[in-house]
Formats: sequence, structure tokens, C-alpha cells
Amino acid sequence: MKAIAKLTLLALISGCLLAILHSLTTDRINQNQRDAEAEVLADLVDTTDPELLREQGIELITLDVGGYGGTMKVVVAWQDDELLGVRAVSHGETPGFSDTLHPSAWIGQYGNVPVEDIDAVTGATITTTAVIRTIQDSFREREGRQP
Amino acid sequence: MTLTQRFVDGLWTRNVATTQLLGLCPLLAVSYNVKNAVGLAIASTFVLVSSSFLISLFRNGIPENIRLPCFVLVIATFTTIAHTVMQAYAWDVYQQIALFVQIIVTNCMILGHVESVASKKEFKTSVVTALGTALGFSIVLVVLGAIRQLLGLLTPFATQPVGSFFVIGLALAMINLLKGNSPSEHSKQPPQEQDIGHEEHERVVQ
Repeated sequence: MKAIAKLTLLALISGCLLAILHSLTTDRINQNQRDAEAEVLADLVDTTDPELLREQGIELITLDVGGYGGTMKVVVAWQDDELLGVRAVSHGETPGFSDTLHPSAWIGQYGNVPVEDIDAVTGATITTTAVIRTIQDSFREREGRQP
Repeated sequence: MTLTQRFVDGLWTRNVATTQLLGLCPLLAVSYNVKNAVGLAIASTFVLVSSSFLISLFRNGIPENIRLPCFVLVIATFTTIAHTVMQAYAWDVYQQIALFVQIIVTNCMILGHVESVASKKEFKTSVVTALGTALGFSIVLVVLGAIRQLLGLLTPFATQPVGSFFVIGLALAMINLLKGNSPSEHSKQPPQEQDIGHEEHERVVQ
């Protein structure tokens, strides 16, 4: 009984400590996250402001999708009903296989190469399938909005 | 054992990475450049020293039968602190080594130290030993990182970080040569246990 009480107390203290730390750092972490996302999108669009993008006919659709190492955040950019490009702004994929998500690698082909010419990647099936599914989902989302 | 002895023990004689061969997964995975190596070294040192300080301070208050959950809870808390702080103030490094900072929780080096030293000795001994151990681990990490970064520059066609197993293997061979223990000598006379801490340690690791 005493042991349970002590363990509970310890867990409580550590939980409180982490909660305080979280509230102190969360703004900064979110800012870092946003900066990193903007950086990934920098070669695709000039700005991430939706209003300015609409004037250029560009729409960014951000979707969360299950990858191999947890949830990935994938941005699909559409320009006048055509696929402009796809970027993974945050992911937890295994290093090495996640190279497919680098803008100069596999994922960078979308928007530049006809879709039927893009090959699958051996060893990164789950990662690449998740990206492809995101593109399809974003397409359906746009379809669904049209009258 | 005096405090200096304990410090040197962790640094060289019983260095976790080169003698006990613990914590090799993060060691090899991260040490492909100096920046990442320093990042992981600081995080591991922080977790090891602070958890060994806290646990040895409250060692009499921790019930024997639930000591492992308590240790893991303390280590996990410090690991999460290191992880969060890194995320907030060292984003670049965090992006590279996030996974390996998280698995500090399961690093045998830390649980082994906490079980064999921190939970038995007073906090001064415990912290000095932890510092020696952590510094020993950090030096190996950073030196390996420097060597492999150089190797990476020399092999421009490699797409992945190079040389982890070869470098650590050669380094271990060289260190064994320096220490003067060759495998054949080992088989003749069994290594002597230096203190009971070591036996305890092996029990944890197994």
C-alpha cells in the first residue's frame, strides 16, 4: 500500500514538472515547427498566407496521414485544378527511407513529372503509399467542395 | 574506492562504450557528425547525472520491490525534459536525433548505473561516478563523430553515413591493445570483479 502511494506521488510530481515545462516551451516549439514548415514549402510557393495564394490560384491542403513512424503532416499544393507539388512538412519516418520525402527526391516528382511515370519505392512502401493516399484525399476534398 | 578512482573508472577503466559495450545503438546511429554527437552527449549526460543525483538522494525512501518502476519513471521524466528543451532551443539537432534522445530512457548505461551505484551509495559518490561515466560516453561519442565526419568527407559517393562498425571495431581493438588485455589472456585467467557493483550491473543488463 505504501509502495503504491509512493509511486503515485512520484508519478504526480513528475507529471506536474513536465506539465510546467510544456507550458513554458510550447510557444517556442510551435514557432520552430511553423518556421520549419515554411522552409519546406519555400521552394514550392512564395508565401503560406492563404489570401495571397488564392490570388495566384494556388490552394494548399494540409492533411495528417498515418505513416510508418507515426503521423505525417503532408501539404498538397493545387494550382488551377493541377497538382503543383507535394511536401511532407513533418514526419517520423525511419532515417534513410525518409529520404524519399526530400524535395529533391521521390516526392519532388509530383507536379514536375506525369503521375503515371512516377515509380514506387522499394522499402518505403508505407511512406510512399501514405503520400499517394494524401494526394487522392486532397483531390476528393476539392471535388467534394465543387457544386 | 576513492572518488577520483570512481571517476577514472567511468572515464577509462570501465568506460561504458568501450569496455562494457552499453548504449551502442544510439552511439553508432548518431555519431556520423560532431554536431549530433555533441547533442546526444549533452542529453545523455544530463539524464544520467540528474537521475543518479535524485535517486541517490531519495534512495532510502524508495521501496525495494518497486525500485525499477521508480527508476524508470525518474529517468523517463528527465529524458522528456531533455527532449522538450532540445525541441525548443536546439531545433536543428532535434530534427536529426529526436528518436535517439527519446530512447535514452532504455539506455542500459543509465539504468545500470542507477541500479548498481545510485541506489546504494550516497549522492556525492553517485554523482561523481555518473559524471565519469557520462564523460566517458560523451568522449567516445564525439571522437567517433569526428572520425566519421572526416570519413564522410573522404567518401563523396556514399549516400548514407559511413563507417560505424569499422571505426568502433578498430577503436575497441586499439583500446584493448592499450589496456594490454588480449583475448588469449582473458581465457587463461577470468577477469576479477572490481567490486560488487559490477555484478549487480550485469544482473540489470541481462
